[in-house]
Amino acid sequence: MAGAEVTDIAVVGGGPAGLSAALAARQTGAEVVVVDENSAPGGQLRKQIHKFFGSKEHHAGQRGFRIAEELAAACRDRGVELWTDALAYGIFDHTLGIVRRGTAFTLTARAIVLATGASENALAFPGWTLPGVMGAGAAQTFINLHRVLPGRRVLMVGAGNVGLIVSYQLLQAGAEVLGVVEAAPRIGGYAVHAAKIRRAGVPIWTRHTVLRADGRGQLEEVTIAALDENGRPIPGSERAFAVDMLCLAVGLTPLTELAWQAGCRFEYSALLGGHVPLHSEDMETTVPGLFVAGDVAGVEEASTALEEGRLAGLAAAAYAGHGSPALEKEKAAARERLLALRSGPFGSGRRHAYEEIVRGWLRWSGAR
Amino acid sequence: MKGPDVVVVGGGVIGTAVTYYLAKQGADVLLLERAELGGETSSACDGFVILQSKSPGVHLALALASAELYRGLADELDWDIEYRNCGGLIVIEREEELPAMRTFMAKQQAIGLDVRLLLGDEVRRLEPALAPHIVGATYSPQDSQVNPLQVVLGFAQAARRLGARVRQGVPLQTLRRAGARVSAVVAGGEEIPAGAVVLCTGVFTPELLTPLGVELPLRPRRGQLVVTEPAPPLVHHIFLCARYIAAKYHPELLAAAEDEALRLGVGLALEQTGSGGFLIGSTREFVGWDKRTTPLGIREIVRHATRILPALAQLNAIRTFAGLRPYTPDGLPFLGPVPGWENLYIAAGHEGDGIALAPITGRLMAELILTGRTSFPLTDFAVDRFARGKDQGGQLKVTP
Amino acid sequence: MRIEEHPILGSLPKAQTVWIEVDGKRIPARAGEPIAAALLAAGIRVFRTTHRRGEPRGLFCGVGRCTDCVMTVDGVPNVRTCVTPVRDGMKIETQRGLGRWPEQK
Repeated sequence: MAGAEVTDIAVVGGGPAGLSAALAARQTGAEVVVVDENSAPGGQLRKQIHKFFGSKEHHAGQRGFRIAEELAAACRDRGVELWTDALAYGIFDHTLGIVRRGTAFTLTARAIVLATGASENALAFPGWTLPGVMGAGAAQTFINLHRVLPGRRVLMVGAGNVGLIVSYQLLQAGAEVLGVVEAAPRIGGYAVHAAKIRRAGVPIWTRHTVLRADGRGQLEEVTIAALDENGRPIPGSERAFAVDMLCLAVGLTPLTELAWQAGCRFEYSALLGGHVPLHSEDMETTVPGLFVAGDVAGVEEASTALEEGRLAGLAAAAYAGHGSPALEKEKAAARERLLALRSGPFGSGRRHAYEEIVRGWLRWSGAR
Repeated sequence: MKGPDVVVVGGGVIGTAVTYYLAKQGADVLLLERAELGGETSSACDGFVILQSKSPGVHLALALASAELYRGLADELDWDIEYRNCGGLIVIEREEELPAMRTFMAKQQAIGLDVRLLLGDEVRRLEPALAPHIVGATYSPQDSQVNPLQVVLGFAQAARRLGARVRQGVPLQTLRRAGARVSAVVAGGEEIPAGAVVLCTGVFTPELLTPLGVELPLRPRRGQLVVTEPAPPLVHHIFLCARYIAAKYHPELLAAAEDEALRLGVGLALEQTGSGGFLIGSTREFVGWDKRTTPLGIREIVRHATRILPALAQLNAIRTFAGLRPYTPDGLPFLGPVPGWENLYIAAGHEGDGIALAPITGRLMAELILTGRTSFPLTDFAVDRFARGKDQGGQLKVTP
Repeated sequence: MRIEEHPILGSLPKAQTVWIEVDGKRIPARAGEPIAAALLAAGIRVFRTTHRRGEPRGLFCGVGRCTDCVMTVDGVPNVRTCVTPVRDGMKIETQRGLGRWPEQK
């Protein structure tokens, strides 16, 4: 077939997990191609302007977009092929179907790492389709990457980390943030992020929900209400706000289309964002030679994505015939660091969820 | 314990049609579907009710009778099956294809199909989006389109209203035999006495018959399709191409071809559906039970379609899928009793014509099972026709 | 509204200005930015109306996944404006329903 490319390792997705996987695999001497549908590598790191927490291995103290630039530069320096504007539309055994700048071709690899990330969840209420209602990530992309404010007076839905961070960044971009609406009784995100926006005078209303959005042709007003113990709106508690922007930060769902098409087995994990491909502790799915890393393997944080990427990249390289005792050692170290990232009050829940996925893989592997 | 008069096995378009027409005649019918209604071939196909593609002979005559039933079917079922009498075109890309198409058309006209040849600008006036190199097309105003899944659901719903029971998630396990009769079916762990049993199990029919010592020359043939995003109306008819006809009736010529697209049996089958999206097929491949799509198949379908309708290149493909068509060596389905059995019937093997032929198949099977006679002779569709040494359906010349 | 000054990112870097035409009206854009950014900067928030109910739609996911922001660009319907860069002289139309093909103009 015309237009049939071949490589050792193909990585789908050029975000933190994908670039990290590519670097790790490349370091073993394997030939690596990263396929990304966007015009520049870096994935969602490109719009992160806050400093990351954690340890040195995970770029602590650095801003997200700088990490993206560094990873991409390292890939170029070390001879990883970065294909941007390249959409992987399908997976057929170890072959990817790709469309790039109007041309369709295939890329066949010994091992494939899916690092496709996640997409933002929507929330449906009357008026949610009006122009002005958008994902918090969309707002973040436009203010930080494109330097355009999509609105001036904003309400945020969701007090997880995304909701809190984007609220603060909207303030930095010059918007007026009227408040954060959270259905849960408690703030989901880190206290340090919540404290920052509170200091700026932005109220966080827990046990509240959006009732509806109104406007002639575009968003003009949002009505919120308090919730009772059963999660039902309390009559008389409604409040209306004149806003031109309503951001939804209500979670992410793994982008698993390629893993489904490849025939991976899945398990549902509410904590990890939905259906997640079963994977081994080396990130290999139930399809031999197909690995996952980052949010597609369960929604966590960029630091986890970097580490999972490294692990998957190494394991994929070993699968492709570039294994060594040194590589096994590095894999073990990466697994240790992942364990550390999943400890503490915020990490232990994710650790249990992650272990559930690995146990599922072991059950499948044992039954085979 | 008295069971239903008839147990229909298989809830695709054929099984639901047979169930409906049996119930309409007053029979007590039970439909057993092992998974979900329309979950296999009937939901992995296009919605053509096309007459022009049928081999001129008994095949076309059967399709004409079926098309007639489709006219009033939405009202009869009280269900929107998205029927549209849009007319169809078989596009001719090369001068060399003209003589064969003229002959094909003349035979069809003799059987009563309204079909004519449009050359050059005549066809482009009808469909301005056609590429300049198109030589012409045969056109029939009788060709139509439906939504296959709505046809399945419509038949099932109407059958239920008439008292039929439709059970999903119930696989057939075995047939209990008493002499030359099926006495009961065992399904879902239950033994159900049956007056008669009809297998409407498409590509899966041979595996049900082998335990009974009956070999059926029916094979799965894969067809891949591509779906585009919704778009404004571009075309007004359903489309096949002349190569589709060749792929359908002369697979041996294509198997040896140099061209990849030809080897895959790619022939255009294109419709713009009610939602605005295009459904574009198709390949014809013998690859066993593999229902996956392939990059080569997708690429060749797209390449072929955009050559004929260049504007399609501007659309995004949003989905691909493949279905297994029940292929028979002569292109005709098996409709009739299983030899050696008094009350076991088959209605399967329609290949790509299941949607088009479903109403007439349902009606004739109901007649056959309930009265022993049919309003259309079924001799050419006999289950044992190959065992009797007849093999080329193209030469059959029975007319009703 | 353009974010000219930003506490972290600093001043908006200089970029070449290109001109695009939106429903017949010329608006400026920064070379290389997505169409949607130029529209929002110009205060345009309604990008299309839906096929059946004619409801307005605009930016929603911002990363090319949801297709809510599609418009007709240079005669091609369903172009995702959040990931398609502007080009000088580009003709953009608010898309009504499924849009229309150039031949039907």
